[in-house]
Amino acid sequence: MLMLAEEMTSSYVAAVVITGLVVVFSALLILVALLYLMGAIFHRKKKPADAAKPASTAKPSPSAGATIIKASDVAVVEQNGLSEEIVAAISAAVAMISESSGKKLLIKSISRSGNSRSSWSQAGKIDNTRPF
Amino acid sequence: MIEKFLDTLVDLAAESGIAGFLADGGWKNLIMIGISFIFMYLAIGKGYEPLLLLPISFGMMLTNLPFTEMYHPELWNISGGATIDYGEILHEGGLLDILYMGVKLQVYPPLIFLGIGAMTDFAPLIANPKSFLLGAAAQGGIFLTFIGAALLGFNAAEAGSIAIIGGADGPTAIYVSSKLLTGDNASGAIDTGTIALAAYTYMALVPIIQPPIMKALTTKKERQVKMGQLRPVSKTEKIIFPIAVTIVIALLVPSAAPLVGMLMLGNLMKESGVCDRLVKTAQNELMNIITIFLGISVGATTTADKILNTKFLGVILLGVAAFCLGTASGVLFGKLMYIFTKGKVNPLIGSAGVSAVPMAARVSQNVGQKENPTNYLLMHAMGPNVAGVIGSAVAAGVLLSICV
Repeated sequence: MLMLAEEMTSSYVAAVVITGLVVVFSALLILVALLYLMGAIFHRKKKPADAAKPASTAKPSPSAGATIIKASDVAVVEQNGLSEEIVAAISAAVAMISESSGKKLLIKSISRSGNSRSSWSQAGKIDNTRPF
Repeated sequence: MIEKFLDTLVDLAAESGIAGFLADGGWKNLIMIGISFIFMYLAIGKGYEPLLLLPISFGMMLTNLPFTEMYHPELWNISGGATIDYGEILHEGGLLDILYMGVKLQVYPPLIFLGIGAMTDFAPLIANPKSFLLGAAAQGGIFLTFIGAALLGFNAAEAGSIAIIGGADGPTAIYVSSKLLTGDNASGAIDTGTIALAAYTYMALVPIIQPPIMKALTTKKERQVKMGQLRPVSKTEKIIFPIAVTIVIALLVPSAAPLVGMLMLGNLMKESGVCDRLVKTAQNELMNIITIFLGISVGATTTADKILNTKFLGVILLGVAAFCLGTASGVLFGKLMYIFTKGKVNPLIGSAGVSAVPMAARVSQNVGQKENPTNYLLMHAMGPNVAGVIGSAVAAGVLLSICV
């Protein structure tokens, strides 16, 4: 049987629903506006720096996409025993850091590290010796 | 001597749990233990929200074993305007009474939010602020369910506690119900335990409940929409975001501040990169300890008289309605965005606006990929998903302000 409890008048229920939806939407709309504002500020800050660089050269800027690797560079690193895929993966990681920090990073060479200690053991050592 | 031996045996039998089952109403405890086994099976056998359903179901079993004295409902069921005597609970309560204090005093849910904040990446939301609107739309389920609860005869506090299940956020549901269902507001028919049980059960069933609604409300063409790549988000933006959200939400809806504040503190610690040790603790040890305490103590409140009644049936029905309505509101708002953006937004990401992080976003991804195997909606769905966490916390604040 559908029956409202004593204090739950239909106007009270309607007030809760309308107030709830309006407050939730208003609060989140304010946050939307704030995020757009934040995005506009930070992107405007980045744009002039990006625009200045490609003006003098035909090369695309690093912040617009991925870091560029010349064919000759790939050839050099391939001689160091590294495949093209590894070079691409490292370049992508560097490009990502380059984008988020806003600094242009250039890969000059990639070489294999000594095999005296594996990366897992290196990570373990760093974790255990981190100062408290 | 034999007579004394037999008397001792009789005394032991009378004090045993088996005698408790044979006592008046003891059969209800047996049924509850059976129900706890079902939830244990769902957690262990099916892997449905095991981190919470397992401790909850075990707590349910413990509290329904007669004479265990781990949880005392009579210490908590206070009516007539009286307040809970925490001194008495500390002196006379059992282990689960002590742990339940963290629920009743609203300590655990904000601490869980601290851990969630430390694990959440808000970048998809910052990159696409429109996602916030989907997170807000999905909260429609909460308020529409409030109407249903009112029609079924629940009072304001109970209706608010049931409606918040639609937020698909366990800690928020526990926070709201433990705050609303006290003193005169608590009729005794439902309590935090029953709300939490319904909320976590439905959260576990998100992959089953959502897809049919998503498919029914969208066309094949809409489901196949591929969304553009999100812009990269700088570290500065990620640091400013939690601070700005906390200030805005705390100023607009102060009652949501404990949840949103803790969520954002956890996130700020993570994004700042200077509190590694604190972040690790919030993400792991603290979160895990609180989850155990929360689960087992909430489970302990599910005594037979709370579950085996028609009111609980009402909670179960309204809970599923809340989930379905929340999903539908999100998808329909997604359709609206699809129209306004001329087909750039896939409406499937709207269903992720119910919190249930990250399961609801995964459901959007899976449903989208079934239509188009090359479509990756996960990161786009994470935006509304994390917006849903903030949205449900705001909705909780509204309910706490109005329904007290």
